Amino acid sequence: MSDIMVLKNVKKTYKEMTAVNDLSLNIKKGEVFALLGANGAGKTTTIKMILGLAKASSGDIEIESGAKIGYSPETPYFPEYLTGMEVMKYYAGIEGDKSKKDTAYLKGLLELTGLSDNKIKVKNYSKGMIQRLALAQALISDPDILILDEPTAGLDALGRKHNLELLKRLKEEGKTVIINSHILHDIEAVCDRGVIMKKGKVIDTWTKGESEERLEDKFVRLVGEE
Amino acid sequence: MRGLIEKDLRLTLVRKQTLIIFLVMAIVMGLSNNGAFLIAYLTMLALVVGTGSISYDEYDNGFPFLMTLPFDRKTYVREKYVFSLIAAVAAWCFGALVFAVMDMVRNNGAGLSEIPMMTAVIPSMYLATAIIVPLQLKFGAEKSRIALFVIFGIVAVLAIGSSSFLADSVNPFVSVINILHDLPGAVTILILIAVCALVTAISYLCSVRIMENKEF
Repeated sequence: MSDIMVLKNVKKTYKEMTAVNDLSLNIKKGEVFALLGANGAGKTTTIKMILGLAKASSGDIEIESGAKIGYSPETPYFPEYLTGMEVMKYYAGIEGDKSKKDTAYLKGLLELTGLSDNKIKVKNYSKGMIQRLALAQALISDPDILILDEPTAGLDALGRKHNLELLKRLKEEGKTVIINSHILHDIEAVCDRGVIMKKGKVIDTWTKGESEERLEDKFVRLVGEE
Repeated sequence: MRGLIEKDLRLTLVRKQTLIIFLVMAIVMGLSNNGAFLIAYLTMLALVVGTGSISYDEYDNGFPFLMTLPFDRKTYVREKYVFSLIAAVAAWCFGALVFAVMDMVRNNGAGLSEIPMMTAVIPSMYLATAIIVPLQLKFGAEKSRIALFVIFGIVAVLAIGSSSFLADSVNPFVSVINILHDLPGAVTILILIAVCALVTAISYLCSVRIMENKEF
């Protein structure tokens, strides 16, 4: 598999604080990749730099030419007076691609994420429903790379199972998925590879099936070390 | 950019209370027969709504999410200027229509000749947008209000100070007003449009720079 995204010696500093320090990653086309680490490890800053929301202080981020990115944030905000379908039309409108504004296409995305085209307004959505809507929204442009920040946080067991099944399906469709999550069971269930970050640096890598040690045990062992 | 304009239009239309207030104001002011004030007031309100769309984008940490969508920051900035202009022109036309109808009913159209000169309202008011947009992008909705007060405060102090210490013949503020007053109406409007275009162009370049350097 070829690389769809390469980060070379990326560093991000905020005044005197180094959020990401000499980070190098290569993410392959079609894989589900995990960014792991405790709070403050630099995962969110890394995602922000990939998305162009923050500029790297040094280093390079190379993304395959023409690759589209979809993003589902951890705490999405949608105009609360809109219904799920209206939200989808609203974002499809911003993205400007006429073919993506088609009601049937958007309805299909809502159903794919376990929502339906009903008259319920976002203000009456549960946290899980908003999370699913964020995922549906991230899929509007039919992205090549999907970046999901805590995609199963706040979901009940059924919602989590549904989202994990969906991620497997997206992987089968050839999409590259980058996940930032604290729920390590979910990472083990869907991810192929990942890195464990601490204080802005990669301290170890993880590959599915590489060892007998559970990811959670490895994570606690590495991240817990001083 | 069309998608962004559609977004802001939808957000504006959702705020029905604002639109109803617009309508009631227009009717009340139309009845009072003060055409110039009606048109200027509606245009100003429309510009407040136009630039206010930045605050809405900012609301509840919405900017980072919005900025991950497939449009560049330059397009976002351009849309804010275009949307504000569309809002101002639409409000001006609506105000002019209300004024024209009222004038036809009450004065048999005697005041209709005033309407072309009232187009001066758009570039004059739009100058405020050119100042507000970069401030909002740089400082956010709350802090930009303080920055705006500071700027207008400085201008006011300069204007009042100059009138206190300088004779009218050498006061630049008075000179500009006198020159504009003596010019034919159409020329004054053209000058206003040119000044507005120049200030807007500078403001746009500043806004693009602010937005391109902004981190979320």
